[in-house]
Amino acid sequence: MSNSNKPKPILNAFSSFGRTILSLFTFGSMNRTSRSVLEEEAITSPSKTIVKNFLRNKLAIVGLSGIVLMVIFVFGGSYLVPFDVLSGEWAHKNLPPSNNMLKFPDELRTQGIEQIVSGRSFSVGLDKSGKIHTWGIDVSEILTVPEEVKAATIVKIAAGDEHVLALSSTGKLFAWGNNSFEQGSVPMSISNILMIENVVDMGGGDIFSYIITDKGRLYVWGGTLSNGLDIVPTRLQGNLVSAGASTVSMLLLKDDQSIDYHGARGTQISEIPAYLLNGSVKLQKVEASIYTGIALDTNGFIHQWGFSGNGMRNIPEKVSFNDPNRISFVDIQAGRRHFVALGSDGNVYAWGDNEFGQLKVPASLQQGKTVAIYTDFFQNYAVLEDGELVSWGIKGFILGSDENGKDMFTRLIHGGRITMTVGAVAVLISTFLGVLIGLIAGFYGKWVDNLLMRFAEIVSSFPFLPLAITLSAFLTGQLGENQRILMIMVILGIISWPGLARLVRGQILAEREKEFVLAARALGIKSKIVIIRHILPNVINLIIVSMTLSYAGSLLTEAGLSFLGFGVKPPSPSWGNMLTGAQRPEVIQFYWWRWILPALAVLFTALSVNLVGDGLREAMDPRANEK
Amino acid sequence: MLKFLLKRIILLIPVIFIISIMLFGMFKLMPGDPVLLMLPPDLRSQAERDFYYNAYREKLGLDKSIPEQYVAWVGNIARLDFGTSITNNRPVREVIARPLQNSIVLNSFSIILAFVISIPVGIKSAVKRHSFFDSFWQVFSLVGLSVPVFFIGLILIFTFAIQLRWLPAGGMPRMQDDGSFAYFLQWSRYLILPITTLTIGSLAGTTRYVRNAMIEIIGKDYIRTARSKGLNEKVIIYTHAFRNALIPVVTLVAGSLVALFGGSAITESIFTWNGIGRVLIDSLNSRDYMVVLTMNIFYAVLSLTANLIMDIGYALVDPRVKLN
Repeated sequence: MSNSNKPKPILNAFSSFGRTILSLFTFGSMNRTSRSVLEEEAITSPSKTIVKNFLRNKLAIVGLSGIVLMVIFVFGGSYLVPFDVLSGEWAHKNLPPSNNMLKFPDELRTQGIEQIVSGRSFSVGLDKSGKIHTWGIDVSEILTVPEEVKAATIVKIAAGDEHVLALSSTGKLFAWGNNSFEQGSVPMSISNILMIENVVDMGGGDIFSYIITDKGRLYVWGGTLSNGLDIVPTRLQGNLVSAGASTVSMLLLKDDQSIDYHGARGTQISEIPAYLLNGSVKLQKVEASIYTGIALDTNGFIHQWGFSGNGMRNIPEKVSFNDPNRISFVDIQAGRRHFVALGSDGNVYAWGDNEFGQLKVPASLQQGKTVAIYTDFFQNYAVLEDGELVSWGIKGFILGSDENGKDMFTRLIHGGRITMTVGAVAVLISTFLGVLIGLIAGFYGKWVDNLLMRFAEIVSSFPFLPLAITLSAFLTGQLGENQRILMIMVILGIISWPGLARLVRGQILAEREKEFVLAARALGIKSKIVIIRHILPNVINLIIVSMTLSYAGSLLTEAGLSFLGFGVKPPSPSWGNMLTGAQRPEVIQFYWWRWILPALAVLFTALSVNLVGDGLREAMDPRANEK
Repeated sequence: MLKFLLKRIILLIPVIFIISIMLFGMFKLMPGDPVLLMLPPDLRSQAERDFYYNAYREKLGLDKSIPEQYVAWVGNIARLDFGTSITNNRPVREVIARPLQNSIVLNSFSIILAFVISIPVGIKSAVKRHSFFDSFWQVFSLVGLSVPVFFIGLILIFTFAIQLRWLPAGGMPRMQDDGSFAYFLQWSRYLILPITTLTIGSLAGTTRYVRNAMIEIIGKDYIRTARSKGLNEKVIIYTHAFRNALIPVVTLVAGSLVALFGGSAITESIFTWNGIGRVLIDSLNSRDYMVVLTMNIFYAVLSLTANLIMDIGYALVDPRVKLN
């Protein structure tokens, strides 16, 4: 072959790669005859053979796709879904995967909507015919309406976080749902009162229920031990009209159209302005979010007090006091952390916190045709002139929520980011150490080898997990969150190198005796260069396979360590520490999504990595081709 | 042989010495003053406080220099006195003894089971490569290698303890250990789930190991020779191949020896089994470092011994290995 028509090496590699790809589609039948022996030889270079073998292995391709999928899910997801340490709402704790919190039954709409109330994960609707409809996520069997309620004609409903009250046309009160503080039932004392007095307003807080009767009296039952709500001051009793309930307190509207506060002391919501307390402004409705109060006066204007963070008191500009052409309001509704108001212009206004999209009022409600609004917790409903029902706010958690009400989906993404990063960095550290120590020991031999291998023996002599736990407890005691994660990477890295070091050393010992090393040395090439240029390439396959397989192991170790509470600690999520709470039997039994999902994520990722590792090993092992 | 043994044992001494210095150093670097935890709660004056503080320091030998403390500690260990656990004020040896027994019981069952299953399975997989049997176990072992141990445990609890209610979810029998058969029956019910978890966890690795070792041997020339001589396939596999495949398996057995005592923190923690792994976790959480230190020294000595046994084992099964 003359020098001129010999292709440049890079082009050669490129074109033969193209041919390889092409031959994948043409089953190698093309070009076969036109090649010379040299070209035929050149096509099957070792690295190409490895790639070809690897791509031929279906399982390895499945594994590779699995890894790519997880990387996209975890790292792409982290980019798209930001992680907020403070996120999460107690009211949403332990909700199963669902997306139907706002999926009201069509029947309710066709019958005509009388009233809608919501609890932490469900909503209850009352239609014009007095029938009750329930939807959302079932907690405490809340969606199962008792038979006696179904039989009665209901005129009024109310909901606490996990219980429902319903008043029949005959004045009988029903309750169902969570009854752990007897808030989900009607005590004898209340039934007795209802024989004489009639209910004008009723409602539920987190663990209590209340009624206000036509005698202006307030009765509270359920979990009132901490807030003393059941002991109503005599100055209030007898002149109450309606109320708005917060978690541990109530705002009361009196018959002189002033308001008052009742419940736990020292809360931000108890700081009611004097002009509302003394009745100089006449009020028609009062509502309460967790820390902020809101009242509507008889002129249709809004007054607010209490906590002002999260935009809770940012009444829309158009309706604020500064605007001379401001519109008045017909109705106000309080969610957990937001407010919704219906203007006299028939539009819906919302302000406050928007974590669950509770401020994303649909465009159809901005056209002046809204007649009623219903808001509780993070669910919002509005009725239009034509009887259409529109909903917005939280739909549910697609993968459920954890014990702090945090979204499992977000936590899985960000937990995966931490678990996968920790594993990767740990493997990089251990590979670096392993290769370095193995190379040095193998090449220099003698006392260096002896010393290093003794050292490897010491490190590997400890059982792996106990050592990792001990080191983690000893070294991360006073570190901050990120330093801690970094330290976990380092710990995992520095205790898992001996295996690879031995492997590399063994391989080097074998390679060192070969003729090409002898030749290189004879030429007077520095030993450093002999190691890096001549010996290392021969063990690189070994290193790649070892890295892949130990990455899978590293993922599992991190998960195990965090599971035991010695790895990544909350609030930073990791797949391991998401499972820490799963050791309690009730979590295993009832909240399956909290342990199955993160465990499956670890399994899926580790399996994918193992498949790729196995595929690589088989692709690199010439014996594996003999079938 | 004897000379080799002696040499190895002598070589072990500096290694153990270095490990003990490392561990002791780490222990001394720990934040937190154990004496503060021991002070009586109702001290009225600073002087009173100082008195108790110094008295305890002296009692614990903490007033001496660190090298002096180290020498004293090594001396104590040589006399098998491992110090006192600060959480329950009992000798560390007593604190560890019972959980260690429990762990050994758990681990020995699961290790024996793992070998009893994986050796025949590994051999059959290797002999019948690419058969359905082989593929099944290959998939099983890949999944087994990738599944977190706690997931196996949680699934077993969910299925057999919560849904089917066949077995207890964890813990130890409530009745008194009176050595009766009834107690034994009770006790073995509590053993089943943790043993299954541990066995599944280790089965994957051992099966693959045995299979790979067998495949390596079956590809050797002498097996081909045996086949061409027309030997019975059973004889080839069990006398010629398996015996040689045993050599790498010896490594595995020696490794299991450490695991036998090592305890399995995760499994024991899920099944609330009072084993050595849980003692380690509890002691770390309650900063009972004397127990932690003792356990790590124990582990180090144990696994160095296991290494030695492994080397001897190699020499015994493989005449090519010369002890020198």
